[in-house]
Amino acid sequence: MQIQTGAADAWPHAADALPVKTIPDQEAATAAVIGTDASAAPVAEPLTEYHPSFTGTGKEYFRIWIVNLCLSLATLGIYSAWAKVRRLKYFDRNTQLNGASFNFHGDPNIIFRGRVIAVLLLFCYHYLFTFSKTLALSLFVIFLLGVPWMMRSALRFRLRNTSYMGLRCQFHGTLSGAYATYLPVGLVVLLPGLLGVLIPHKPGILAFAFIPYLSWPWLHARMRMYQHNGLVFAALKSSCSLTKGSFFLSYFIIGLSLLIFVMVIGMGAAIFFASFKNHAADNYKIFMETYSWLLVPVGFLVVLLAYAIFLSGSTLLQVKIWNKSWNATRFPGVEIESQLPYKAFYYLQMKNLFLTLLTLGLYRPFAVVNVYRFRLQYVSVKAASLEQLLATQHAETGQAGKSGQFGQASGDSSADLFGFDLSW
Amino acid sequence: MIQAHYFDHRQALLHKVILHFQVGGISLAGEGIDRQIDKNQLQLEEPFQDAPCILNFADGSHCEIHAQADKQSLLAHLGYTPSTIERWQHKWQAALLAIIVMAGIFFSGYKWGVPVLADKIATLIPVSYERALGSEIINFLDQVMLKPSGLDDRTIAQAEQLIRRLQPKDSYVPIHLEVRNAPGIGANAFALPGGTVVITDQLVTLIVGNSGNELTNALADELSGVLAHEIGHIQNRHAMRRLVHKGLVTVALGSLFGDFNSVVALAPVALVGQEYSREMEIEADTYAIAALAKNGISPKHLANVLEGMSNSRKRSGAEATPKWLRNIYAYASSHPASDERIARFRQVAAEMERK
Repeated sequence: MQIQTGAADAWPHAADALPVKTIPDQEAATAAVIGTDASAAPVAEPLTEYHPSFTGTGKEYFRIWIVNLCLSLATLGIYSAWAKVRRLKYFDRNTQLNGASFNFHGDPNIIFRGRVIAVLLLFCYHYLFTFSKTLALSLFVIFLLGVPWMMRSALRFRLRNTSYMGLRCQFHGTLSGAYATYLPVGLVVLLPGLLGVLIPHKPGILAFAFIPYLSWPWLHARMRMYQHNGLVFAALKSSCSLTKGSFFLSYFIIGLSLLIFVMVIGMGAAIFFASFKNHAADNYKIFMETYSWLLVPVGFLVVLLAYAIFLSGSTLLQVKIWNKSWNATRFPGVEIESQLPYKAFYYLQMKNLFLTLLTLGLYRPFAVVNVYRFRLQYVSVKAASLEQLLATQHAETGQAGKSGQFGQASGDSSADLFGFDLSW
Repeated sequence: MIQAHYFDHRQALLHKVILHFQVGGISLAGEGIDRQIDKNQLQLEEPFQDAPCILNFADGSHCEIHAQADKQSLLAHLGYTPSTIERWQHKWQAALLAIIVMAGIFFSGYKWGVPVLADKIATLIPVSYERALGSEIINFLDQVMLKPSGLDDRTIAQAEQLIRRLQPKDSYVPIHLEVRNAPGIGANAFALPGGTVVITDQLVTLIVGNSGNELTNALADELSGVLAHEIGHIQNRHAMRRLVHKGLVTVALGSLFGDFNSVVALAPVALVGQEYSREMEIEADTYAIAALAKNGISPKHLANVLEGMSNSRKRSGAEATPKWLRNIYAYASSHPASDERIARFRQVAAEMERK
């Protein structure tokens, strides 16, 4: 925690200092800028908004997705590493900012090696964890120590293999920062499973093991801080003004509303069934017998409705956290703004859910493209002149070369399988 | 001659250049840029419909070509040949064919691949593990849905006597009986991994009636029939095979949809749900017929119990469901209908009597 807050304090200073340094360079670079109308930039530069755009379509991605899926299935998952590269290339290359597109350069062979390790780890976690107490304890320690390293490796792999205007991105988070951030997360996630093995058949104690989950708003904020503090493009290092408590209010209000809603529904159902019992025990039995066949369709509707309500809460949380995280992130001389609107995003998510269910999953690639485009649509980058600022950025030595160390991909695809959100 | 954006990979700077097609390659011309690039020094990335084309050069720099017409003439000039996968992606019919191929893989994997693999794995599992798992499961069931038997000791002793008589000499695992009160399950019997047969008080009561008859003669033969069927499941390792089968399906679906479940959470569901396949039930019935014949018991007794069990289910209201819906469930579950099995026992019994 010390390291984390220390790093967060250090970044704003660097952020303030850098633009001053770059301004003399910018003037020199203006001459090198060709054919842009940036030459008339005044001294007190007003910020210009740059909107990223996405040129991909659901129709095109559908065909890439279905072929990827088919080949992954036919090769028992081996092709999935190549499929992942194709997918990331599709999304990155269709994303454009100020006339230049992004690109992804990850080596599928490395991702494949990482996936093998990830599958082995998952197998251990799901099938050997309950085998014996010593095995559970040793796996617990291995995971606890391994996951922070893997998360950092995943971030590094992903960013180092992402390029824009011919320069690679980087991830700058330290290993100690990764441990400070992800060790508590690992502890919270793995604790219930470990206690379940060490103290079996005691559901009472197990319930207590879930209490640490209450710290999730803070843990989540710290993960975002670690990620958004470590982004690097050429010499531009990001800083993030999130604090550990940034997400607390969103989590609290949304969690409480969902809880109240569930209680209201539960009480309503209890009253409904109790009213039968008060009339006569037989009435209840007759009702249940006559309408028992209705239980399946009615149950289905109830589940769907419950999911719609759950989605309204989780989407709100997603929107809040997404906006907060990106609005708090800046690069020296570059502001990032995200104004993702809740209502429209919720409708989109509902539409995606229903169509995906209705088409037995075939709508999924369309849904993925819709969500990606929608998010991007409400992001803007603000800078006095992006062209001039970027023109002063040079590749670090050796950065443009191949970055293909074993550990990086292993981390990346492990993290992918564990389902952590690296989709930003 | 086309428009392109050139990036030198040393600076994040967009150079607008004119790209000329030449015989041996291309040339780039712009402010401060004049490059000739040989055909074997450049590589075009997979073109996407609306994304700019990316033309990489051997020294690490690259060009982005945005205009649709420019992209087409570049592809034509370089004589770009798409890979098999790209051609597959481009055609709608071929892409849709992928759905059929996947459905085929799913179906054949589920129908043939998984059962064969599951049987192979099940034979590799040591008996000691199977027995440990069995006692784990009965402990779990005792906690959640089974209660100690309320039958008198003599009846239980008689039932144990029956199972001892039926136990085959070459059994790979000792077989023993557990009797439990299970109001939630009703009249039923099931075999756990590792040689444990569980019967419910409700089953014994169904056979002997409420008048306190003893488990002798025809009534003993009826219970023997049920026990022989369960021993059939044990001798064929159905519980373990089923468990591995379910585990494999879970792993496969889990890898596809990203949600996993552990074996222990799965085991009780798999066994109490008695979701043996039609083939397994028939296999256990075949075993039961042979085992009963060896002990001089007619399979018609087993038919009687099955009838009683299905009638008691009817009375308890489980059959208040409309028939069309029940048919759908029955079809989906692939269980052999009780009627079918009863008919088989009666037919075998009739044949045996004729001899």
